[in-house]
Amino acid sequence: MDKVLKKLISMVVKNLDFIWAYLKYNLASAMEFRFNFLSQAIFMILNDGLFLLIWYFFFQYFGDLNGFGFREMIALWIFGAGGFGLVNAVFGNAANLGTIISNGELDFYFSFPKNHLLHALVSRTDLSAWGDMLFAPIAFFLFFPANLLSIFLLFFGILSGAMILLAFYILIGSLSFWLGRNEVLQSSLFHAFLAFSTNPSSVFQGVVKFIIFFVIPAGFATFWPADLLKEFVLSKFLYLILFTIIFFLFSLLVYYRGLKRYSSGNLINVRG
Amino acid sequence: MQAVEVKNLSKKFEKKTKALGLKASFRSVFRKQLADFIAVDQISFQVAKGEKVAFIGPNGAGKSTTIKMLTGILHPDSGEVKVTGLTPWKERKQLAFQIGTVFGQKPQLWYHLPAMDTFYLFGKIYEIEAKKFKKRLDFLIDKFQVQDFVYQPVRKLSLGQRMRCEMIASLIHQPKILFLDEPTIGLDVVAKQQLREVLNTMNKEEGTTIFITSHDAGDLEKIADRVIVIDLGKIIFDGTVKALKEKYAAYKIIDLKIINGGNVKSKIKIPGVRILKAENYNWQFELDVKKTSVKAVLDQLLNIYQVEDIGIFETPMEEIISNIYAQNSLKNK
Amino acid sequence: MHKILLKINKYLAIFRVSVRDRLAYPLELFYSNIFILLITFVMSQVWLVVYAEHPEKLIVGFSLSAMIWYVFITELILTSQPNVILTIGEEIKNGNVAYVLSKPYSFMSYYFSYFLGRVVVSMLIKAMVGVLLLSLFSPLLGISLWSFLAGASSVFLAVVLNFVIAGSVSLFAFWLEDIRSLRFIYQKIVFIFGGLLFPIDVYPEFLQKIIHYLPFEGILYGPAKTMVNFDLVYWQILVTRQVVWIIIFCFLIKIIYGQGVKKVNINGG
Repeated sequence: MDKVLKKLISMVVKNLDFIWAYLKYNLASAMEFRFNFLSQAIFMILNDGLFLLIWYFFFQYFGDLNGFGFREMIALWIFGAGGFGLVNAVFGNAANLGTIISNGELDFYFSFPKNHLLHALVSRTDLSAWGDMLFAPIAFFLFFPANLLSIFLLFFGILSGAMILLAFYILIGSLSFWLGRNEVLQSSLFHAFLAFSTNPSSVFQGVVKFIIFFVIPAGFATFWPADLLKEFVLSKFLYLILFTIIFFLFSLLVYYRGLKRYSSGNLINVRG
Repeated sequence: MQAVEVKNLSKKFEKKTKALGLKASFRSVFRKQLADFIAVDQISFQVAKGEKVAFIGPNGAGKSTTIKMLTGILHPDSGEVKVTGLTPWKERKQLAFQIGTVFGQKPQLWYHLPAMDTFYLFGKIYEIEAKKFKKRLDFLIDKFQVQDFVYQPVRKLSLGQRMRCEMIASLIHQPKILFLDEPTIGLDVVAKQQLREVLNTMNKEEGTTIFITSHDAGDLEKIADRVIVIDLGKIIFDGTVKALKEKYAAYKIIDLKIINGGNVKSKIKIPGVRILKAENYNWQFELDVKKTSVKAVLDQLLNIYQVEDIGIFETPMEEIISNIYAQNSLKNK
Repeated sequence: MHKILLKINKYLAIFRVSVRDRLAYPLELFYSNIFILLITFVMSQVWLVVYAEHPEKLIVGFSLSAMIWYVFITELILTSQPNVILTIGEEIKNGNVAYVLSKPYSFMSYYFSYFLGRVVVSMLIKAMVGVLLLSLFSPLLGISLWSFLAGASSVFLAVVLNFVIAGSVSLFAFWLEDIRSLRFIYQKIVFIFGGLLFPIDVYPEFLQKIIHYLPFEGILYGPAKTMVNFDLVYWQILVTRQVVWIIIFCFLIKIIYGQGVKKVNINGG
């Protein structure tokens, strides 16, 4: 048992090392065009802020929606932008996974000694995502009280949201294993995730609510972290951790299933 | 009227220079540091109607700059250019009807649609009358043998098939001159051959002037009548392909398969002959055609050795070209 | 006269081929409906709650049904737009704009016809599906043939207006290193000043006044309001404004493009 644990830990550490190394590399390449990088990031912060402005005007006129007001909207965006930014900054190819698979580019990553999926995901960074990542703490410190618990929840929420989104990216990317080229479907699903995670959560009931939590898990990605920030409830916190881990493992399961299909040569039209 | 007339054409660019570092990046936003780069330096040449000219030179030599000035994309700093009697950057729209362009790196065909759709589109763009267009299209489709795939989406075609369709698109309006920029790049041997055949046919049957830039020596040998070599913005050679070889390819190579060997060095003393390879039975000699003749060398060799097999080669075109570039850069040092 | 016909034929042909191009992947078109239906659904839920909390059946003159259709129509106009800034910016950055100089058509007119082709297909498909579904769940009352035609004409003008504004912005690619960030900002400006998701009547007074002087109202709010809440007087002002702004931006495009091409002519771009 001890040996297995040690092995697991060393594997995790090695992979984290790898991610960190690639992140530094991607960042360094981005810094070659410093001005471009900075302007993209700053514009993205502006972009997020402007969208919130629309909601500001909305809540100014209409007031709360069943207890959901402007502050709650900001909380959603903190975790939405933060999670999205984190995933796309570190795993910049996550959004392209489907295309990578259908173009046969996965083969490229098989020839390296690192886990090919991880490698494919980290080999790129999305410059504007850094802006989204920065937006989260900026909005947080502007609108929310900063104490030990809230700052912890900020990081935790962004992290768990990022993991859920990453798992979701992997899931929809894996669709390419079965459906071939289907970029529009995948981007539609992603936009669905985005739409559900950044709109007033209190308006969703019944079947829709179920879908938002268990089919397109935007609810767990942004609603719950935002709820926890407002009022910490231990059980919710633990359930969130549980869901995040299970969902992530599920996405890997689906991916490797699809990979088996891919490797068995069933997808002649997918390669090249 | 010549197809192309170029007189004392010059063009320089201001290239941005930027030092490394964050401070320099900010500074460069406000104050551009520029350095002059002379791309084309007082060049002159002419191309007659129906000629096939290859325009070659190393990277950065001024090739694409020149072609851009010929097609109206760039304004020169000084000099005159007349293409089919028109000044490119002044009479651009008129010129557009007279010229066709094939840029290897930039396809004209719509990727997701059949080539036929692009052909119809070009017919309308070039304002070709319907009946005339149909006749022309049928002629070209037959000439280029594309009937079998002209209704398939372009993305499904092989590179060679795509190239043939690109050629049709650029010839629909019966241009007087066809400008091609690296058209054979990335094509396999068969596709290259097909393309060259097609170009030669159009030139023969319709008198289309062909102006092609290329890095491919085969294009030079199989298509061009004439070669213009440009390097560092200046023309360093302008003449027939034959003249090019005579000037720069003064060497011939003789490959010998010999039955009885012995020490070659002690036995060969012909001026102008250099031994390139001397392995057991396979020997290679290089002779300077200006200093001696193939006949003289062969006579001596055949006297000395028992020759099983013999091969006589000219310097390959690639080598000729790289020799030209090398010589020119030495001169300029 | 014949010359003009030939010219129109040219751009008509580009439009036709663009339509065909957009139809080349029908499945993709089908999927593209998902987003707009989703957003409309989400916002309809929001509006249900809002209207439940407000005893008046009308908010800023819009009934619940009209409000939901408002969302649908503004999203329809927005999501059917091709990515003008990115596409034209890309063509300028990679030098393709220069190659157009050796062809007998104008760069911007080409792209206008091209984009129009894409928009028409996109919009028609989304409109058909959306109108069908929306009519089942939230039928719109008070629409007549005339108000529909008025709405359709202002939608068409909105598309043209968006193209000329976005087009002018995209031409800054001649001078700017990276134009991608501009695309997001432009989108947000259209969102805010055009009234995406809810009518600009919801905004505070001072903002509404500013918006009336800007062209963006003519892209989203104007045509959507005309469709769901027809007002003859407003429509006449709207169309006038749209046309005037289109003319202004056409001039701007001509000037900016001329300058940009000069730069390409001198510097090779």
